Amino acid sequence: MQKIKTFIKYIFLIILALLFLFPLIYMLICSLMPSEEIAPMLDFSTETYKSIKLIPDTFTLEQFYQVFFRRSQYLLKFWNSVIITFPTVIGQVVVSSLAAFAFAKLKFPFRDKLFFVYIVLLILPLQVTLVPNYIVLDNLKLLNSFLSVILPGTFSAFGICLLRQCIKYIPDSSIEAARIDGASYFKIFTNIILPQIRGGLITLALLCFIDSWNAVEQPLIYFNDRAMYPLSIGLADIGNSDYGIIFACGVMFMIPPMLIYLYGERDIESPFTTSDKL
Amino acid sequence: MTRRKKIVIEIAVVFFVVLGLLTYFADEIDFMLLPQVKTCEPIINYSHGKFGAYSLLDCYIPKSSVIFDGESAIVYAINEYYGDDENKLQVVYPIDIIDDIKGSDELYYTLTVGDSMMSSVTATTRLVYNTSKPLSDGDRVFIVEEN
Repeated sequence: MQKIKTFIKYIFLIILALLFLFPLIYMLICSLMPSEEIAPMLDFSTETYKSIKLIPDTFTLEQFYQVFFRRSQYLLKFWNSVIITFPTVIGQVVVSSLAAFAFAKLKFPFRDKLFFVYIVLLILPLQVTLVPNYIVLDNLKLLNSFLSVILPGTFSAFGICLLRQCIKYIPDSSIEAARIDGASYFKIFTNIILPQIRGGLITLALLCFIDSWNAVEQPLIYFNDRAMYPLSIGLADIGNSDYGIIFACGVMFMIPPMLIYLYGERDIESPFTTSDKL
Repeated sequence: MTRRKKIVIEIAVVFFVVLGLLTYFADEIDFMLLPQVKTCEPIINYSHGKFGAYSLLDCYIPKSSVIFDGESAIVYAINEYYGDDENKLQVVYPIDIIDDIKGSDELYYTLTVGDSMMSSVTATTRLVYNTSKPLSDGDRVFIVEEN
């Protein structure tokens, strides 16, 4: 009976996994098909049922050839994504870790009330702050520059909340001992706090990377120059582009997040499930 | 650092370096991969006759410029009217001349065309008579020789 239950459980999980993986597998397969094979599958002008081909009639690298060698605009969009994402991730990790240390271990007036405001900011959807952000960026003359997306992304309430949970469980005694030895708060932060929240930092970096890498709304609204659009917008523009090339771009777009995840997979931990270390 | 992390870093470095080089040299690579074409203007004989309001011309085009595809005869042309693409390269478009062909000799086909802008082949049309790669409508090309 137990074996049957386990078997059914595994069948269910495998089906679920295949469902989640199907878009990825479909994208990989379509990137190896010529455009003539893809177009009928994605012709939505008629309401007839479209059959999905999972085995191409012809395997070709034509789409990748077009993306890497003939259509440099997609490479430029890829680098726009890199320019937006990497500084945002580095900035957010630095700012969030410093702020989280202050909220977790330092005592200052209105600390808890201010942190409550940060919690409220977490609940606000991005679209609510788009217009105020636009006005602020316009006044700062930052519109139509990469900083208009990087700077707001650097200051994230989510990162602070995430890292505060990690830092909260570090014993105060270790900090007090360091203070007695004459260490400054910055030295305590770099030598004691940072090594112990490594998992949280990697988790934050990964989540922030995924969020910035897939950003569509902010670049669409804050950039006037289409040459500055990242690849996430290029992929969303599937209706106006060659479908085969879009699938190849999607494969290229997928590689950096995969590499980052493979790098930090073993170090990722959820601070919300960490037990009290006292 | 574990072996897995080292491999991931190596793959990431190679990936970004390769993409960086492809982006930096994108224009040069694209230029090298363009079809290299030779073009010529059709030879026009203006003393043919009239058809309604338009003069009829005898037009001689090289046989090497014509591609027969089933029931059509295609020549690829570069015309100033269509302009250049954003990288200042020429763009080709096909013209079906199957109805215009009235004769041929060893080297040339003779077409009968009108002299107005409504004609398919005009005196200003530059025809592609030699190409390094097969062409299709809207392809960008590099002209190596103009005759």
